[in-house]
Amino acid sequence: MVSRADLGFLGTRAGVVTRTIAAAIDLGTILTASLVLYFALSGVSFVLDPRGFRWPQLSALRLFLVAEVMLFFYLAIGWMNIGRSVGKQIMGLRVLEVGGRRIRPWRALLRSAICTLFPVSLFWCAIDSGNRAVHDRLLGTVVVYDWYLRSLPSSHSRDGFDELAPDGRGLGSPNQGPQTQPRAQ
Amino acid sequence: MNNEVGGAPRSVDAPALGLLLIEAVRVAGGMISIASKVALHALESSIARDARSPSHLQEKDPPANVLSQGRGLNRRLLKKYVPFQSQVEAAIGVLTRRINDERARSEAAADRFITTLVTDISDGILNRLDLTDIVVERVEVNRLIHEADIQAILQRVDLDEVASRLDIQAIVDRLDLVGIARNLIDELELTEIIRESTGALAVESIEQLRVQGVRADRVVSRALDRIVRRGVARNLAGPNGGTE
Repeated sequence: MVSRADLGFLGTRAGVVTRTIAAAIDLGTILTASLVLYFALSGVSFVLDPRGFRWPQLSALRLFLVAEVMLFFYLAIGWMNIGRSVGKQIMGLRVLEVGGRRIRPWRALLRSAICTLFPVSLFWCAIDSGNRAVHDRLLGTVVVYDWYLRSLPSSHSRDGFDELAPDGRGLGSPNQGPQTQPRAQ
Repeated sequence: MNNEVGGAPRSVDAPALGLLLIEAVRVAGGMISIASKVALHALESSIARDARSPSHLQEKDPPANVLSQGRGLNRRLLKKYVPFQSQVEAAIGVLTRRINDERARSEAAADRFITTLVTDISDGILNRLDLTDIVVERVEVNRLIHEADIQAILQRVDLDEVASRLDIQAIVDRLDLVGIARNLIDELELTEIIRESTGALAVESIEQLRVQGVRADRVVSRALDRIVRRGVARNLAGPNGGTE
């Protein structure tokens, strides 16, 4: 069990490793869901016509498109609700707007479209000065470490980081001390 | 005459009958002697109890007094009226000794007779009774057990010896070990414990994964900063901080 004294990084921006692992988990989740969907459709086809049953033959393009659509909705719905997907939940990450509020639906949809169509945009965060990917820069979002979703060491908020530091100070980062700028809205 | 006690029938001839009669007289005399001893002992005991009571502390024993006075009178009478007193006294002494000897033999004969008679009668009675039925019907065994000092009994029992004679394998074979194990698992809620511990293990594993991910982020960030020769530190502040 990690002690609370070691949780000073919570609230700071996540790096490329954790975000990549989270994305890989999301991709694995979608592939698994696609397989389940494939077998479910095959099962329905078999029930409807047992004698003439054949395994559905899907082209690679069709499979890719189905997976992309599923990924789009999967990411958008997850980010709109709690700012997380399955992968981000496991890695303890959360997507927020720069101001600290929950990501709005239109931002979530756009962000999901960019991630789905241009997944390599993620790797920009490795060299970005603020650990932000291309879609983060375009849409004004950040991805932070948030293990406990609503119970960060100094959090009093029900919506995430709004009340994390009432005086506008962040939790601090590995490279910087606590920030003193007032909260941006 | 048949011997009903269990021996073969014997013919009665004059010497056997005479011996029987002599033995019978001896036994009778012995029984009278024993009975008189018992009565005398009881009498002496009762006299002794009375002598301890306060109202008799100052009195002398009337029977003993009478006896000593009687003896004194006897001697005086004899001395006065019987010229051959010493011979008579000697004869009385001899007679007394013979009576005492005969009494001892009679009492021994009576003791043998009573022992044999009681034994034969007891055997005859016991052969006709079912003691087990009697004990079961008339004896409160539970009360006996309740009154018994079990601890004292157990202290005399060598439990190690008893344990060494036990066939443990036979006992184990008679146990439903599978049923016992199932009941134990149900009582201890073992499945719940396993579920909780597995859950705790999963939580710890995920926390370790996250911690390693955070460390890897920092290492990669520093390495890439060195590669691109970044002069200013990254802004990793949370959503409330930073100037972006």
